Amino acid sequence: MTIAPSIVARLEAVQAVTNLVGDRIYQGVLPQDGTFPAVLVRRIGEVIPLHLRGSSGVFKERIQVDSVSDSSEPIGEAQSIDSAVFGDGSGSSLVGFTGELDAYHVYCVEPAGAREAYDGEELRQYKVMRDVFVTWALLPGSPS
Amino acid sequence: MADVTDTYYAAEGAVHGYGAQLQVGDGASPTEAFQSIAGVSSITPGEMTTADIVRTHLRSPDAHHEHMPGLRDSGAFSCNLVWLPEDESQSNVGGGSGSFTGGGLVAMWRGRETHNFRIVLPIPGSPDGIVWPFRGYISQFQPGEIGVDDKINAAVSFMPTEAYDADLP
Repeated sequence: MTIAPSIVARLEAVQAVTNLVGDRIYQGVLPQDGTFPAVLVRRIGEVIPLHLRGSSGVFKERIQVDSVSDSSEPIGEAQSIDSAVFGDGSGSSLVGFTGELDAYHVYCVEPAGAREAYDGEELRQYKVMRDVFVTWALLPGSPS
Repeated sequence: MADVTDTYYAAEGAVHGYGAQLQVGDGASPTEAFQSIAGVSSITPGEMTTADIVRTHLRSPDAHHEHMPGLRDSGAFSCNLVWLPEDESQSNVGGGSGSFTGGGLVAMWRGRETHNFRIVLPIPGSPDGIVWPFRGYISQFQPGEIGVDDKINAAVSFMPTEAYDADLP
């Protein structure tokens, strides 16, 4: 179980992101011969605290969001997409978001770091790789 | 949650702190309005204690102390803030048209004012969340270290003036 698909849905609902990448927001796998720019969302870690007879019901996932560009100005484009993904830090986009997403209640999306890389050999893609911590619980009555 | 004896289960209803608010009442009657203190980064509710009275005597059974409960007490709530010295909720001057018209936390401390406070906890699926009310005064307001490695924070303590536990969920 991961909230990554719902993070994709969240980003698809942010016009500042879709203005830059359209519907090219993927989970897990970035099409190698696809159209760019694009965004890739994937789970890279999780913490599930337990009590002695089960889970605490509050989950924390580390989600990586890559903003990818192969344009002639890939740095600026990837950084612009990343800014749109980040938002204003108060939930306009991803960071600071709180509320319901599909079957989940998202308590918070916290920034966890960012780094950049360039594949100059084959793909010639520039990436801004942003990590966020997403703390969530299943909404009451949702199937676990 | 139903009786969980001998079962394994997810602890549905666990609470996360993000989104919580610490609010001050405006004192209006019969309907009091509450306004949030700005920049709150953590809240630690006060300890709820019961005094221990030792009733041991020289013939106590099993050579063991005997105890009985004394008075209950409610300790100070504490919270950490991002210090916003000119914000209406934290400053001496105050502002706005709500709970801080006559001054923020500094003014409330200076005036030794007693107010109704409440903590509002966000709960999934519940628009109103859980409300934890208490009445008290500001027993400490301490701006934090002025240095180079962090913003300046502040610590505030709120001492309850009476029992509030009957209003807890």
